[in-house]
Amino acid sequence: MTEKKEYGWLPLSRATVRTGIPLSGIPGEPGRHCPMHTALALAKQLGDISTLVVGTAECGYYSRYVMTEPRGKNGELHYVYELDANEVVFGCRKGLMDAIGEMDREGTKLILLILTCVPALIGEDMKAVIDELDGKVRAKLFFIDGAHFKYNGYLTGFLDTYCQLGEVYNNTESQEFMLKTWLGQEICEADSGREDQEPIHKETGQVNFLGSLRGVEALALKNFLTEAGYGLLEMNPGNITGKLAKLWESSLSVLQDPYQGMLAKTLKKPVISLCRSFLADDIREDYRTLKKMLIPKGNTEEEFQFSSYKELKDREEKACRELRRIPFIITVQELLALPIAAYLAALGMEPKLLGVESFLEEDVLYRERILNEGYNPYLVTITEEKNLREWGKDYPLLSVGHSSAVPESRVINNLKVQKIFALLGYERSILLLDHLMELAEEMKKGGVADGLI
Amino acid sequence: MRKIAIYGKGGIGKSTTVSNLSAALAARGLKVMQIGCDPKADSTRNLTGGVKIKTVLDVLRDSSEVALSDIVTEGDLGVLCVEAGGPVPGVGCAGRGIITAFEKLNELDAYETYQPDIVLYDVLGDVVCGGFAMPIRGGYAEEVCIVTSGEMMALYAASNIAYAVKSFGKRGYASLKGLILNAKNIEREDELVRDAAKEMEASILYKIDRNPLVQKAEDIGKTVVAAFPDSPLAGEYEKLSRILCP
Repeated sequence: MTEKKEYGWLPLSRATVRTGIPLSGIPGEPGRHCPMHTALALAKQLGDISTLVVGTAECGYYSRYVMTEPRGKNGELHYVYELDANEVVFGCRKGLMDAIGEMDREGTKLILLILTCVPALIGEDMKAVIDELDGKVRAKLFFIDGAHFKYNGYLTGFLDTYCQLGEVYNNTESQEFMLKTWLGQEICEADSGREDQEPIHKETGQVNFLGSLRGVEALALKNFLTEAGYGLLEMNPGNITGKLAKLWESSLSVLQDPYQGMLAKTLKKPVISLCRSFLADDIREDYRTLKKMLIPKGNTEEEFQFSSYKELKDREEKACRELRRIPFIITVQELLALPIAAYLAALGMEPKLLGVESFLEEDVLYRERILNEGYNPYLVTITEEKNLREWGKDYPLLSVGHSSAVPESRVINNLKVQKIFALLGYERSILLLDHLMELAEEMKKGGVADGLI
Repeated sequence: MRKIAIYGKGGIGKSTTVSNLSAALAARGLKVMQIGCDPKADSTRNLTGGVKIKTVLDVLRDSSEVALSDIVTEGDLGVLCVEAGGPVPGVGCAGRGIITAFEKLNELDAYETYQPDIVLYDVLGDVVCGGFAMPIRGGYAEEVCIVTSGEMMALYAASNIAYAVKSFGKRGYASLKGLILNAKNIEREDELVRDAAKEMEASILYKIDRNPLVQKAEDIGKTVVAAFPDSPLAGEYEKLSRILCP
């Protein structure tokens, strides 16, 4: 093989927390640099959240790509507060507070303030604005810092909005109660002493499920917890705002949607990040920990979903044979790209390129796993694919997610990916492996993609 | 953890006062962190042997990967020295620099990691823009001291800062603790400062008389407390430290 052209992509071995991830190429319009876009998109999806973009005319203009109407279907308002030239010098505090007052008089219940570059640059203190309005407006207020010069990408728009949304209903009493019973910590594969987790006090009887309950296993989990006396508070993006007040009452959070990861940390309760577990043994350990924490000792119930565990173990054995040494890329599920890659690398596949926006602390564990398997894929934020196509020509790649660098016959398309990642646990991994083995099978048979037809 | 911000007219002796205060507090056994909020980055020089330490913004400019050890230097008497830094005169935005430096310190959990007993923010000149108000925002300093002399411009600046601090009252920012008189021995200095303090509704916390030992200590890159620990002036700083941190 000839020497590969360098594209300036980042090898995983050089990635650390806060390392900038290079773009694959020129971003298309309107770019993918601005957290404001995704904050608005999330607010629109969640519904019942009014928004106020605080920025310049340009921010206002581009915000209308997402919020096309000033009034949402449930009456929520989507406004823009545009700073004029004087306000850039003197600050926009007074005008901003007047605008919030106006939205409050219109009957808004919950307002997301999005601080964009210019007010962030001049040091506008949004927290102080919210504190000062406390008790003076009926609407609940929260803000995210959407300054793209600080947070260059889409992810913080999602992560921060969820996180701050959770904080809106944070009250001292809930916090103090939880501090008495448990000081929150994330329970993940890296934690030692997992076997020593004490059962959680059952007073509240509620578990947060951060994500959507879909699929057989998710419903089985719900039944399992219900029978054990726990209510499951499902934080489904389709129906979240009405449940926020109860978030802080739960004993523990199960994280299925990685975009709610910062929210999970904010709640300061134990977290089981089921979304990052793909290996059968890891998932099993998560369920065992969950059971140990919630069910009193001495309970003789059989292991949760043991038959699914065995089914996945069988699949993994088969995958080790059928997927061995097949190179792959991941172009979707940015927050889970490293856990997925670590999983598939453990089964013998070769990760070549992972589409991510940033490298987070949670990714360190998976980086080590991938490197320990002897692989060093590129990390890149996929904006356009000309370079990817050129680079990908020399590899018989499979792709998790659409990519024009890979023939369609070797791609798990985005729709299928959505269906896979709507599931959790064993069910999710089984479906992922089935799709990959299907593609591998097709690849062996050959076809247009392999120049045989 | 106490957090105090010190403001005052440029050249009034803030950094001298703050670094001696830090040294005096440290000599009492307290763990002290001094954060210079000035693009000149010279607040902690007398704690580091006259050598300027690397600033937060310099480190950030050179590398996106920053560790606390890159930006926190242990100086004399164990004082933890941090300089926010900023652009050279005439370019960029110094206020933005202060905000960035503070955000980075927060991001790196500087306070949680070092757990100082007291944090002193040495802030340049007047409160000229939003960035320079950063040290007195919620989560940072709870109290503000203003260093002044009896000179008109110094008192004018002190009054300006006091007014700003009071107007931030509704935002939950730091409150004005009082004035520190760094005497220049001008005529009727005490009376002038007393009258100005009354107008500002502030108290005079302490008076530090002019003393050549300050210059002698600075010449060797040290604070008076470190260079001349048995001097009456070192004793004055110790007394001031007990007023601010009993």
